[in-house]
Amino acid sequence: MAVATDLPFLGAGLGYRAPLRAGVFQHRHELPVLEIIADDYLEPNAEQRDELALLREHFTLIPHAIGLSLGSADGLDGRYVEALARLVDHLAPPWWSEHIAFTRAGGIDIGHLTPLPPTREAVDVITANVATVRTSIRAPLILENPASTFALPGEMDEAAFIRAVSEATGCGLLLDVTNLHVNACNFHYDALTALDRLPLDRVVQLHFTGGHRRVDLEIDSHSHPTPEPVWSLIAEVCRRAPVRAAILERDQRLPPIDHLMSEIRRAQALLPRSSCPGVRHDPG
Amino acid sequence: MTLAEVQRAVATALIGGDLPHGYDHHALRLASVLLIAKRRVEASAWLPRTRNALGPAWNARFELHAAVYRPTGWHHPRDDALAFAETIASDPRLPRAIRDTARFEVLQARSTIAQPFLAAFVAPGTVNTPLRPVAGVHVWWRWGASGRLRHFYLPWTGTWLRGT
Repeated sequence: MAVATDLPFLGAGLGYRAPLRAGVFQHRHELPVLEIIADDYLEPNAEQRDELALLREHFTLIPHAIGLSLGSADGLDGRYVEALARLVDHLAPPWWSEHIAFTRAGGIDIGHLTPLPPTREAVDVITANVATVRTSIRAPLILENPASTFALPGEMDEAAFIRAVSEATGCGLLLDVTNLHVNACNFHYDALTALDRLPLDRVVQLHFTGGHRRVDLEIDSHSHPTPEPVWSLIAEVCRRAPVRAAILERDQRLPPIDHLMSEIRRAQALLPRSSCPGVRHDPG
Repeated sequence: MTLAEVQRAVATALIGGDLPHGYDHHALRLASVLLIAKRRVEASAWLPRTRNALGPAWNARFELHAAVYRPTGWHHPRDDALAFAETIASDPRLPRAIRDTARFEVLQARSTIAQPFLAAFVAPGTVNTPLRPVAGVHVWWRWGASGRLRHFYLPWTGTWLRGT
């Protein structure tokens, strides 16, 4: 299975949210890339089609899906795959992304990205689901590591599981650095040590943001500025990985756009230059 | 347990059902609580006027709703918010102004859905003053499922036409 090669260097951008629309266009010359939530545009009305057309005109758009449930042992929702394929085909992005997680099981819609037990069976299930998706969506798929407040028993640790999934599926990685930090805090391990064991040569894109603390847990709420420990991790990843893009995610407590642009500029300064090699190609 | 069995058990626990043996019950129960909090935050983005109108009662009312309603499908946050707003709109124990505010926001949200739609409504207040009604009528309509959304507002003291 092929890992995408020669992916373009896009730089630092923003996860697009409608309340940020005016600020996004105000700063469009400093925003080379926007990430859109694919689920918001799967059944677009006229206004959403217009919005997508306008965004496409000014930005490179990366669709980030949430509801595919790639880790689901029950398989995929065929209608969802078809709608997602139409959207990705329409946008023709350099890549699109989903998660190493599941959102549905046994007829229950959890409505949240839920971690997989780190087992060989889970690797096999997600590999089969990715293969199914690839029959409909040809654009390169990269997979994100989720945050969690609980861990399920398994056969390997998180870093080994992510490596196994990436290698078995042939997908690049969307390394959510904040999620790595959150999980390291919640499960008491060192994030830098975990970084050493991740397949950094497969990292295509980063996510970064700030969460909040509730009792004794870190919550990935996308609600605060990116904290310094995450910036340190970003800097380390950018020294070692051929990162093509970094996206700031902010969903709650939205600040003035200038605050977000300040974070984006800081990420831009850390990103490796575009002359770095792309993700290696594995002929399928 | 197979992966399918593990996922079913975890999903059941996360929506407030039985906790599976051999798992961290405290962590799963906490995750379930956090999931409701996430739903509540997402609903408040869809229903800012209702959120302000309910004030301190918002959290408790939403938790009552979340205990009995589980959204399914692709439009989780929107469907969850609209279902919650409809419980507010139909609760006769609540002041009329709060119920009308919820009805207004249901209509506004549904107007974004690609369906033919025509509604007239006596407007509630603003986002920040939802309980201070501003006299007027809002009308939304589309010509056909793919038509552009149109909006007309008629205040009692004058008229102007606003389209998209």
